[in-house]
Amino acid sequence: MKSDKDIPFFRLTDLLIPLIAGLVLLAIHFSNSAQDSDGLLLVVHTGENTEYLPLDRDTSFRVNGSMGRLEIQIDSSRARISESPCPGQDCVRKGWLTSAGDLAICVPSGVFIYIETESSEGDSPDAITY
Amino acid sequence: MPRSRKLSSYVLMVVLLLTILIAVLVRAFTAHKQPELVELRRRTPVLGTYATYAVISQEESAANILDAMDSLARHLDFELGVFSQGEVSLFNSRGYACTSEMSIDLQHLLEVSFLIASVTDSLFDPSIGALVNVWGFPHDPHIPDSASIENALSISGLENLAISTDTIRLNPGTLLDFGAIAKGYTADRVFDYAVELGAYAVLVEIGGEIRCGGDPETGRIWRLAVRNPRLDEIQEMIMLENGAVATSGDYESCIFENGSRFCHILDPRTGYPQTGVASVTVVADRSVIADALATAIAVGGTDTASSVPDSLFNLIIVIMEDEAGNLTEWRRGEV
Repeated sequence: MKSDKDIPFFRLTDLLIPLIAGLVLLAIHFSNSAQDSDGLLLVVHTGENTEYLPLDRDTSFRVNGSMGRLEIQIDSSRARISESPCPGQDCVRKGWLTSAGDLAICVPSGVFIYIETESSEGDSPDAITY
Repeated sequence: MPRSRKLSSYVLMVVLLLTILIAVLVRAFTAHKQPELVELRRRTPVLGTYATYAVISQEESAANILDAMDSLARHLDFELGVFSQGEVSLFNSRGYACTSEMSIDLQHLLEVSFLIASVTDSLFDPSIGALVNVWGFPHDPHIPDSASIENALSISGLENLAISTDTIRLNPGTLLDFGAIAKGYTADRVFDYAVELGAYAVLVEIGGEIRCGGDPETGRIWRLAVRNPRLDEIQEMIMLENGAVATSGDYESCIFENGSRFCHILDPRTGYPQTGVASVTVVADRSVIADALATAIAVGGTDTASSVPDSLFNLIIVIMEDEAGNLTEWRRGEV
């Protein structure tokens, strides 16, 4: 029978606990970032129409602006105007929108996008009769 | 510490941490991937007002369903409106329509019109197009002279429609105007179409007339707000899983002259705008019924609201205003 002195001070298996703890922390971070996008909408104004899209769904699509078609991309809970026919390209350079209130405008096309908090899950009505 | 005890505590801790890791990863994975259904909304102008569409559907089809809903609403706007060159305009300009060529939509509108006219003592009447024109609603509202009103009244009324087996004829000068139910009817049609196309749950709101519902398994309860007729605030919230809500109010499209309000809801008995009722909200199974009843009750008040058959509605809320501007609420039924 070995005494406590025979047990080595450090063994490779001792790494297991901090490794798993690190993974848990990473998973919690990942989980929280996924949760953060819940309840956020991308609002797309294209002249006449207003579209509301959930920000937690990766997609890219084209909309019609007054100068032609713009491409809008949603990726990893962020959104941006990725292509635009406008000469200045300010809207494309604006880059990713990540938080509620972030806004990208293409003035020549009459198109703008912004992020807002989902209201239908709160106290706000889905529709108003008047 | 003995080695066996130390080892077992290690194993225990590893198992514990692994369990937490798996639980958190499963949660993170499901939160990131989400179920297959998605809810999309769109707001767009149609029928001289704004429409809101909300669809719960498979992700890949939701946008297409919204497009299809929008297209149908615009088609009905053209066909049923009096300012376009669609079916109703053609009917008015020709003075007759062949029943064999009549669209299902126009047939349904006429059926609902006769039904609601029959239960409201003709207080709902889509044949007052000439009267609506005299008052200039909605584009150029003004107070006409009494002779013009009398003349328009003489050619208004559903008795001016001569229905035979193959044609419906309008008496000379009589004009149909389905403006009072076109929004409600379109909301129903667009709703049904979205469900046909595979939407699990749908809400359609056109100018305040609402139709909503769908598969109960989605668990979507729609929160529908009733506007206060005198303040820019919500009067009450109606929670509806399936059904329709429509409101007629004297605050929309009205004229103020010498301190008096002349609203767009015309009384087919007198030719003048109704007074005394600030708003009527009706909850029913279908939006077209709710819309037509709300209009008739806005004219007839609580007497009409009391006499409407139970089978046609779930809830009626009438908000009356006396000459001093005090509001009182009357209601019948429940949701």
